[in-house]
Amino acid sequence: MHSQIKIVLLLLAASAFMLVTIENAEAIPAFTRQHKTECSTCHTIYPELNEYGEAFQKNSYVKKTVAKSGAPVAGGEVSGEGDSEQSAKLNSPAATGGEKTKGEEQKAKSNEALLLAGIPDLIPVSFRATQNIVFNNDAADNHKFDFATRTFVLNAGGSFRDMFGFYGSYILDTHAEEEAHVDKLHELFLQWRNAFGTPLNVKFGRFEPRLNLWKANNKITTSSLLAPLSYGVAGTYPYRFTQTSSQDALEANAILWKRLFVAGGIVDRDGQDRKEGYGHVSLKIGGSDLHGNEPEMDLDNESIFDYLTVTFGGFGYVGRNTQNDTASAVKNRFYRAGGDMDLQYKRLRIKVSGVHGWDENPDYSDFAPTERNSVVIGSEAEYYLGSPVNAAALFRYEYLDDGHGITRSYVPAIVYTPLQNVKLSLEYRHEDAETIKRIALMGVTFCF
Amino acid sequence: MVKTLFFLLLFCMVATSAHAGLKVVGKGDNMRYDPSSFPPVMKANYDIMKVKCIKCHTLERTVVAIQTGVAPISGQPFDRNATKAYGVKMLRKPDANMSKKEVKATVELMNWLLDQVNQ
Repeated sequence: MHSQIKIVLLLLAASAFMLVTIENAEAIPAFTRQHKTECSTCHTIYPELNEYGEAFQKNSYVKKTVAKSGAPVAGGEVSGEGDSEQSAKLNSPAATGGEKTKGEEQKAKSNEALLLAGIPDLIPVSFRATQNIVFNNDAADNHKFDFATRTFVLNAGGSFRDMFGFYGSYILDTHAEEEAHVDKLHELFLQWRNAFGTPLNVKFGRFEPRLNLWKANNKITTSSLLAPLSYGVAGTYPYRFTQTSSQDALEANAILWKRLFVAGGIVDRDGQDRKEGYGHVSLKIGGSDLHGNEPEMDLDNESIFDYLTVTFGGFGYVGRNTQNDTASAVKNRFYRAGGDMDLQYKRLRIKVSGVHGWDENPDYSDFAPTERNSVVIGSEAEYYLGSPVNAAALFRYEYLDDGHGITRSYVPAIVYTPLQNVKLSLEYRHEDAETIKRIALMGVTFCF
Repeated sequence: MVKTLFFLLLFCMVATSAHAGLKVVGKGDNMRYDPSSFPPVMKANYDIMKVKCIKCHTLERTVVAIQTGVAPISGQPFDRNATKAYGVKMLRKPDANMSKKEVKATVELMNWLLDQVNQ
């Protein structure tokens, strides 16, 4: 017991040391390079998205655009006794959007071919690495300290002339590789944006079907995510389906009336004789709209609604496990139906998710199939400390009833981003089931 | 001859008439306005801007947007509509640590600066 306390104190001391010794700096992930903007434009704490990141994602990785007039808005005249060189630069027609210099023209010409071909100027690739130290006093193999839990992922994303968005995520290396069925190609899809001039986007490829408000990596913790997003009904072949599993799918989605998002799709899983289907609808109240436009605000009067943003979502998924999932000819039909809420008020963010599941024969029994209902609820509260210490504290509570038993989990965590592209996290997980499990995890995530 | 005319034309485009009251000093991350000739109200607003805004980004970003009329990152027009939208955006950032009063002051300052540039 004393040794556990020492270890936790050691981890806390290490975190505190990092909190006071590392300075802030710029970040350089793929979208940052393309759009020359910092990570915090789209992320609260990487990789969790803020509302502009959500809008960017929903708009097929295309920045919000406004029709430009030919002439510059401001005249661009700078003068006085300041820096003459800088003044000249700012006054130049190139800077003000007017006539281009010779150098600018040459640059524009060299980019024209890329523009016409729809090819991004920069290769839109980045990498993400996660390395964890896990302490589990009850480890089955008595391997209490495990330094070997890591993931190294290649990401690619961007848009082709605002018409198509694309995204890819390939797991180059993971400690879980030897665990069953880790698909290295997690995502690779193309989304036709506003097909034929309609609000409809058509997404095709391998991706996480849009069920919940958040994708699997849309979180501030390094490893764990909300239980409804990750749970699988434990049977003979557990965890073949989770709500954030990537699937080969075709999806249509659209932003309607600026604040309503709808999505529906079909999934084709190897080995099955019919398609699976899903649907999602979400409504955002308050905050910027789903295109990233700011709300109207009276700057003379205070109102709590100026800072309050709530998004409600609902989803359903109907599917069946196949021979490819289970190596068994016996099939299991199932459905999941649930709802989410994402609330933000100033520095506080609360996420709640609940799902009801039904499985016809999760144990794949030939002779005595037993139906099973599952109910999973997850909730978490995050509080962003913000500048000058870019850190956040989180507390998560989860209730999981998978039909076999009930597990309650309590997860306090702190995360800290000394740079926008480097995140350190300290997480403790207390699972209260038939036996109590306690796991401490210190992780670092970085991208470049 | 043509070359000479071209350079003369280029010089005329760069060397523009002066505003007595608007001075940009410094380079790169240190670029900022010299507020010595600002009216007292705008001086007070600038005091807020130079403390609050640089918590997340340099003043160069603001100066370039105002002087060119184009927001440097988004490439979108930077006009009176944009100043309020950016103000609201910054106000709503969880770690902005800005009050409405402070945001209003910076929006008013940016609008005044835009007016000065456009005169």
